[in-house]
Amino acid sequence: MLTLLLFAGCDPWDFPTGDTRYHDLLWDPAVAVLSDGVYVRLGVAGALVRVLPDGTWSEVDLDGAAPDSLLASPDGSSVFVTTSWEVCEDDDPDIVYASDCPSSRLTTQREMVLVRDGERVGGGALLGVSAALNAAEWTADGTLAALYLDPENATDVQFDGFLNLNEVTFVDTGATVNRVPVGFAPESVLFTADNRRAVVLSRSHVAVIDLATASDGCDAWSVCVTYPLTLDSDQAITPNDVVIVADGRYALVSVESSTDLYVLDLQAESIDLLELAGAPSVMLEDTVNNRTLVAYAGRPQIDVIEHEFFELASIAVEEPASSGVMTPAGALFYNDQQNGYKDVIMVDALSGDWAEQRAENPVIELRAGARHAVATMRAESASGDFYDSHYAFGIFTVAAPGTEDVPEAVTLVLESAPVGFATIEGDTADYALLLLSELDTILKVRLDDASAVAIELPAPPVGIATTPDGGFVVVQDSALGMLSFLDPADDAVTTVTGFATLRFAETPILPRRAAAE
Amino acid sequence: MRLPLPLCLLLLLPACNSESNMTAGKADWDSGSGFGDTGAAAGDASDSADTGAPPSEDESDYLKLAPAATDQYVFVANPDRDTLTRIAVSSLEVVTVEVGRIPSTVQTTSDYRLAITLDEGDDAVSIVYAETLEVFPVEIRDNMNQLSLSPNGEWAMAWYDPNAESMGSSGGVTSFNEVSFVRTDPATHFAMAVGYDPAGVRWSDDGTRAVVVSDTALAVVELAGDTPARTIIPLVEDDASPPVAEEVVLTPDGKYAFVRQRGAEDLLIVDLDNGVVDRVVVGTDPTDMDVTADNAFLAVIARSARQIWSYDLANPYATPDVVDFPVDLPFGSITFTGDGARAVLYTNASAVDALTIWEVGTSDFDTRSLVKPVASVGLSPEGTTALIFHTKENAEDADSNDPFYNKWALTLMETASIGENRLLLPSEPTGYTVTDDDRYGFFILDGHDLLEAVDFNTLIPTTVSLPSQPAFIGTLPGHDVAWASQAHDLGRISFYDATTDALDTITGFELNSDIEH
Repeated sequence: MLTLLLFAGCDPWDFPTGDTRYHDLLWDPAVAVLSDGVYVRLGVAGALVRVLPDGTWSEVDLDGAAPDSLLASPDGSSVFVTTSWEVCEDDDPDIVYASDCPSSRLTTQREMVLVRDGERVGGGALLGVSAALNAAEWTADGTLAALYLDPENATDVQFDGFLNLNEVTFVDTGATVNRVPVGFAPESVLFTADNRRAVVLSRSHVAVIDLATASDGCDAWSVCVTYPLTLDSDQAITPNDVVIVADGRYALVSVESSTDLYVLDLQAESIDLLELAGAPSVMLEDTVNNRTLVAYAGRPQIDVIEHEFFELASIAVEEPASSGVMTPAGALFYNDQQNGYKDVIMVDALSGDWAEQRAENPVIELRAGARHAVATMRAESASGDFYDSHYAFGIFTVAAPGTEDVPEAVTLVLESAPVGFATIEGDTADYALLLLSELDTILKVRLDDASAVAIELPAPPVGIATTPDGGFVVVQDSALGMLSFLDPADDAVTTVTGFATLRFAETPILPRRAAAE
Repeated sequence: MRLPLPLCLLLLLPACNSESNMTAGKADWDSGSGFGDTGAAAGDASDSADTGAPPSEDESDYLKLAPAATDQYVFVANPDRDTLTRIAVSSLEVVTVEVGRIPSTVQTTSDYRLAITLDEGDDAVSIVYAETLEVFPVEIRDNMNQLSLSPNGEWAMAWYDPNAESMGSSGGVTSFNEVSFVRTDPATHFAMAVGYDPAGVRWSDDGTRAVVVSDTALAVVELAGDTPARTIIPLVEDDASPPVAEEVVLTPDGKYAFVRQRGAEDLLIVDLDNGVVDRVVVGTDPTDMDVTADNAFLAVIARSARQIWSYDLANPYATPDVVDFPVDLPFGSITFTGDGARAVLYTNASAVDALTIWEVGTSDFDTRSLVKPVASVGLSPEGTTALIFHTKENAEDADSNDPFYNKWALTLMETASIGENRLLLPSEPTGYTVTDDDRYGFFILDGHDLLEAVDFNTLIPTTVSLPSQPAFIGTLPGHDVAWASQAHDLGRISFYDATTDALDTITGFELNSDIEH
């Protein structure tokens, strides 16, 4: 039996969250895949359903509220659901539906709930947690989440009165809530490897929070240390990226529009600044060699920073890189921002050696495993060349620089735009599951020889996700709801349809009327 | 000169003319007045106009805010944030503590136990234990802007120098006669009035006696008792137009002080025990004096007489030995080598492109021509190598086709043999330092982001690139490591290990003062 491993570092969710075709339709294809089922938001019905691989589905009791968005934990144990419901401030018992309520008395209330095993953890809302929080970072073991407002995706955020942007809200699996003031506009949260501390990036500050366990001089659920990013109170420094390196000893923080890299010593509680060649586009930690690799979107250069003295060594490459991923063979960099740059560059952080492979088209997304990296590539519309004018799928061999007889990269020209892909690493072979728009199949591509088989689907796919048990869920284009569960062991597909018909013809009544009174 | 001043040198005014317009580690004698050689130029101009003689020899005006070092740490005062930053050289660990307002200078005691800041904004000094960073503030008299530490670190003296920059003023009374003595353990303040316009202090080797020098008087302060006791000894009888004391040297036992007065034709010998002032004859135009390393005798340069007058320190009233210069050149400065075997005679008051090396105790001289006139001379601790910094100006008979014409230059010269290396410099040297094992020297250049490291065995310099323009330079006692503080908004200092050719830089350490715990 195949041992199924997720490619390290890849996002298991590959749903078109920005897709608008389903807005105001029956269901939202941006589903949450948990170990206990797939959670689907039904827009018209204002309901959340859990769909199981056995073909059944059931509604999650949200006490009349409608789910507005889902934030699933990476380990698939639970999902945060922001909900809302309409409230009529007129107590007239004849008012049953929203349309009965005078518009001037109709308001909307919101809350955040944590859902697991088909029900709200704790039986109700998360007390003190704003439903406006739209981003969550989880500990590696999935036992704790930090919720905050991500300003980059905040245009649709709804809130009443005011929103406190000075705190991070921590929620554990038991729905226990701890809110910690951290400074204005927290924009990113990372947890240390031991899950005892969280590092919160806010405007002009970085706060280190002691979590459930207090440490010397610091209370639990409080800011233990705040690192300033500037001494000028008139200057707003916006952190851009952060990596925690050297077993949690240091946090490396890059900031917007700056070549400075802040090295925060979380143990000695001190700050150093490294001057980089430019603003980093991506930072990767090489835990094997205890180094951090930095790439720049505007400069063909990779910098390697060792973690003892933070000395920096530069590697000149041929093209700038905007993204990267660690592999067992080294750091793999590529450019998914600019069409002109197609190099896929493997860098050995220890020796500084590097090797490049060429993507035939600009990379959209790249994922790497132990033996292969695969990438979807966009068509270059301006080009009249056959290859360039098509979407493509690239297969690259993951090999350390200097490795001999590395197979050439393979490029598959695609019939239509890729809508998602997943990867399977087996004992004997690696595969990619590739979904194309308007195509009722999954292309299962064997990466060693680029051979492919088609797995039939009842409808065109719109996204694919890996389930916690190693299977796959394919979301398909069907108005009444369609999910297919794929068992990679035998390529068996089980399709569930029709879950979006829940309360299809019903007019929802105003919920929680008693509570309103 | 450099940080670990030999104790004998602490008894002296800084070796005259050993620096000029440069910073070299720690300021042992800060003076912008007519006292010492520093700042004598203003007075010299009138002297020169009056007499037609060349001006006095010029000695360095050490800049404030230079870091101070122990064998383990470098301390940096942050006057804008009222903090003192300690940087551990081995680990680059940074710890910041609060001191008083506007710490304008920091100095470390010779036993490396204490760092002491002069907090001008609070009219206080902060006594900081180097290891524990415990801070003991002590209030002193108002508006003091200069600080000196006794050799044993048991006492500090602060005074007001009207010619020196003040970084903070309490607005209270400013005295031109007061000094503040501070006992470091227990931290205690003693104020006293001394002669008008105190210019500095000389300490006895054992730290039991301090001599506060004013233009026309010495204040002898006995420090052995519970409370300092002072005696004022007038140096001049004619108060109407008194000659200004330009240089003072104490005998090692602190019993006598030698005072060289500007324009005087004799030397004052002050019996500090009995308060008796005697005059001894000296050659015409005494411009500099220095004590041999073994503290056996004092040499006074009589520039116009072209003579060296040597006084037996054990018997100051004995007839001095007089040696004529070997050439008719106006050498006005003398610096002994560390072993006392030789002395370098030169002048920076005239455009003379030569110096001579005197075999002490003999009439033997080794006169050497130079590429350019001398700006200043530094010696390695043992004196085996001289760093002769040249003026940009040329000698009168200089050849305009000479590569050194109108250029800055440095000559590295072996004092006991003929080895030398003449270096053309791209700009003016602004500071230098040497390691205490006589192996390396370092200097920095105006406008250049670099440090030059000189191997005294080979006389070969190595250019070390720094991240930014260095401001101060120094070495760590007991190590072949130079530090160079640099201009950076958030603080930057680099450490260069000459034995390993390794450069470590820490940037942004002033952010540490705003870390909230």
